[in-house]
Amino acid sequence: MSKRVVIDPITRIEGHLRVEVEVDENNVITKAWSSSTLWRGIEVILKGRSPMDVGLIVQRICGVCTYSHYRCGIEAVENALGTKIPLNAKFLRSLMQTSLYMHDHIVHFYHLHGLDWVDIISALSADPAVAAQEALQYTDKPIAAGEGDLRAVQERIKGFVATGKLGPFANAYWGNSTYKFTPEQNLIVLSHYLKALEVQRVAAEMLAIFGGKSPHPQSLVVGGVTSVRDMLSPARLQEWKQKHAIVTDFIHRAYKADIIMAAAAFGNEPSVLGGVNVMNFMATNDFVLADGEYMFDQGVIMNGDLAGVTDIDPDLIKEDVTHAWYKADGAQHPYDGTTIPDYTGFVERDTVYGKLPTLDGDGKYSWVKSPRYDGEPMEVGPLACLLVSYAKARLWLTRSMACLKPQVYR
Amino acid sequence: MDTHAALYRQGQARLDMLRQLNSRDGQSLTSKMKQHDISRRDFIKWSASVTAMLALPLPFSTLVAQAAELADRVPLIWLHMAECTGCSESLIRTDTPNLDSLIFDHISLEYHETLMAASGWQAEENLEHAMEAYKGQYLLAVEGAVPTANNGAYLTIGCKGHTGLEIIKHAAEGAAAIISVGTCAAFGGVQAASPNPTGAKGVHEVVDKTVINLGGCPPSEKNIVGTLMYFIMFGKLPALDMFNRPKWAYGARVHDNCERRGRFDAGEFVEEFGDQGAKDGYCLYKLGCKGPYTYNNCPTERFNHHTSWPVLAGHGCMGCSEPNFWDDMADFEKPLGRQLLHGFDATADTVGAVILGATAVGIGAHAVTSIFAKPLED
Amino acid sequence: MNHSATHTRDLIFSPAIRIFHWLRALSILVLVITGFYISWPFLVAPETNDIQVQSYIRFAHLVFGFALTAITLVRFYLFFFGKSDIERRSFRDVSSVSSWVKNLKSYLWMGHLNKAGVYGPLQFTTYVVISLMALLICITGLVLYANVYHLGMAGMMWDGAAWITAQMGGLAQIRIWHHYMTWVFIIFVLVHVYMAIWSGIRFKHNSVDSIISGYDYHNKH
Repeated sequence: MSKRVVIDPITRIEGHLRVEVEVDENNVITKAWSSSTLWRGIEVILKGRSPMDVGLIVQRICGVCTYSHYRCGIEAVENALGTKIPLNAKFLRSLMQTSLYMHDHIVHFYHLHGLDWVDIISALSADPAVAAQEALQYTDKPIAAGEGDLRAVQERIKGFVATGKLGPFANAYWGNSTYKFTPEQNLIVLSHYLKALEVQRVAAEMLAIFGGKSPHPQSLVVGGVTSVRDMLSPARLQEWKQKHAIVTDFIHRAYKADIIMAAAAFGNEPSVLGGVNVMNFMATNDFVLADGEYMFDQGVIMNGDLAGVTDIDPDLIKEDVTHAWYKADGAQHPYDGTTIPDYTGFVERDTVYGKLPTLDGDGKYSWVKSPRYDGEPMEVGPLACLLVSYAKARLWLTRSMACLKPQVYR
Repeated sequence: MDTHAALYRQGQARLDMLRQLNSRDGQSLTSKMKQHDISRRDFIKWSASVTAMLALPLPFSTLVAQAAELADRVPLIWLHMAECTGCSESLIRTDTPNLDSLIFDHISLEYHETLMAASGWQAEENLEHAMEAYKGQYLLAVEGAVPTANNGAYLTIGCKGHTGLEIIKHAAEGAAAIISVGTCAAFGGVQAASPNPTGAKGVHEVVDKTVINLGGCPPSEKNIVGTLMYFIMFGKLPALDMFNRPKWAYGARVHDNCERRGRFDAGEFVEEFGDQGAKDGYCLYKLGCKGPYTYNNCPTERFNHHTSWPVLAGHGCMGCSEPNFWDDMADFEKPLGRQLLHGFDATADTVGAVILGATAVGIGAHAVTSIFAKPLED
Repeated sequence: MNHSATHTRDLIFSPAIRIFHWLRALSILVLVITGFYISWPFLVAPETNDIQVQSYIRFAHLVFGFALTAITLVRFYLFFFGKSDIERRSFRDVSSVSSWVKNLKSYLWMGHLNKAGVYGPLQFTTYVVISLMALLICITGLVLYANVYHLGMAGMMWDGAAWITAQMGGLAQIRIWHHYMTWVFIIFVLVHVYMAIWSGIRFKHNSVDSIISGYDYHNKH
């Protein structure tokens, strides 16, 4: 007898997400559906507007990855018009993107995703002295992980927990067996969670130096960037470099160390060993290093075949709405794409929480369209960027991988 | 000064009342500051700067300082509607010294989808519990617009599948005060731009209570935190402008305090992005700066620890704290007079000139016909 | 020599009406030119920013804006309370269908203009509309002014200005409508000047000069 579990809202993400799973008698997931429960209609709103405004509007799709959408909206128009932008503008865009990458990864790792694998309550029983020693195993210069630092963090959390009013940490899953860290390891990451709150602010300031503000910078235009005064100011460039140093320091001495620590603790988890569900990866050129040269290569990997990496053919991209709340006759290329809402609602059924409105898995159940490449689902994002560039044997990457391996599988 | 004296007394009475309530974690702000290496001196400086920002006389800084210490008594529920989380992101980027963010985790944050550990059923329980336990006391902050078309079906939140519209109406009932954080919650924002396919509306349009509107896409962290501080201090809404925005933040136009205002008055304008004028910091009016129509404190407070703001970065203001700015202020890189009229694909001046030309042609035709027309008999 | 006059000489425009007409014409001219500069600053900046080009032009715009506001108010007063009822009499024509038909026919070269007051019904209606337009452009102008100078008179107007701003949906809307209305004046001026000249020729009376001298001449009998 299978049971249905409904999880809505999925917290610590941008947007509104609902996940439903069906589990068998042994609580093993047999089926799963994910649904975005919000439609805003940005595609519809864009129609008939000035192409120069597109970047600013699509940026509002997400306030977390803010600048990425801005840049893509601007570059889409540049590509359509055949606009060539100055090399300095490309560099400035890369500097801004660097800032966002650093900011976003830190915030995602600690403040968004972190609470899924760091048990705050467990950190209370840690021995700060032991934890400080442990931290030295992952880097020889840990940040915010000295015995004194850790003790202070622990005391702060103790006072907080003692009242029984946990605020944003209330009613969570503390003590669950899926938390794999030792109390000491939890304490280290918790300390870094708090430190990262400070550091992410610095990373946001990096973006604001050339972007005007963060989130939602406002210094890109079709044809280049507007912050020429900041670009030409040695003081501004140095300001960026200085903040870059602060964030880089944190990444090396805390973030990277925590990843290595997590890899060891969670390495034997079925969810990790199971690998990825979709073995297809896609990435585009990214991070201009010099004219026509990128840090990340574009390419497509199908069925995990790294050797068979091919170039992207944009004509093979289609969006499918069979299970999305839109009307369309079959999958559409984005050029011909339509966005016509067709809401069908939920279906009432038994769940572990009693009768609830649930997703109609056989019909339409989400506001997100399903993008396909040559009819196949693809994974994009950080892992895809790395895999494609690795498959294409980018020197900087193969070298870093060589450095990383002995540490992970020590 | 009399009104200030009365306000001060009111603030004191409010804080005395708060002092009677239980602290959340039993740890004083002073000890928290110690842990964070924030000196008393930094704290007093911070209090004074918040006081100045709120346009209050300096003696009020003692109230600000006391309010900060008592902040954890005010339960805060933060809801996400049709939004992009940019306002929450703005909030977590609060200035150094770390005090602002400390205050944030010092107040009783009961529900915030971007920051809370619980998900799903447990998250929904937290919300229901907070709305019940602190009925009539909690501060409600809303981020994002409320879709109203199709009975609000374009947004549902929670296992029970309630629409955003239902949740907002319910949450507003028990709220001591409502703050719309950002232009979406205040005025509908980007999803409410024409043709507004989801019928998105600002919170004040769907509840019948006074709502403080913090315009901005996103509003600066100072405007968010400053508004919270005001409520904690005085237990009432600050003085509001014509669109219910706090006057201390939205009392002057961007244009009034712009660092490039002198260039504007001198008639020195950037003609295109990246030209010599752009390098010299000329006025961005001709490239579409909407500072003259926008009320906000960006030029004085800037963003991200005073790092920059759009005009400093060489791009005009886009008017993001004003109602309906996505339609009214577009095209963003052209001044209002050069706006392309929808349906015409031409500026008002082009349309006007064409009508003028047509009139001239009509006049010419009339004049020529008059020459051949039968003269009027006496 | 016995000179018997063939025409009578009638005073149709009082000195006040004539003075305000020309002051208004001057204001409109200056306001349109300076207004277009404010909308799109077309002058090249001088070598030194001691010359506050935008400020000076804005100053001129404000001075003549206040002039237009004052004239508009005085003109409303004169219309309703002036000694001569020569303007007010036109209400009769506006409410008479036959007068409208005659008016429109006469503009299409058919028959005489027949009017009780100094204006034909179409002419009168146009003037009413343009006067209301003047009122609206003055109000929107004052709202914009209240945002530029915050003390004194502007300070007193602030609450009203804020209320109007809220009703119109923001300062941008005020500015947009202020701009649109400019074009109504430009097109009006062209038609107005043509019709003044044309009706003088067509209907053989002293049309253009009467707004200078105040007199019109009509055939005796």
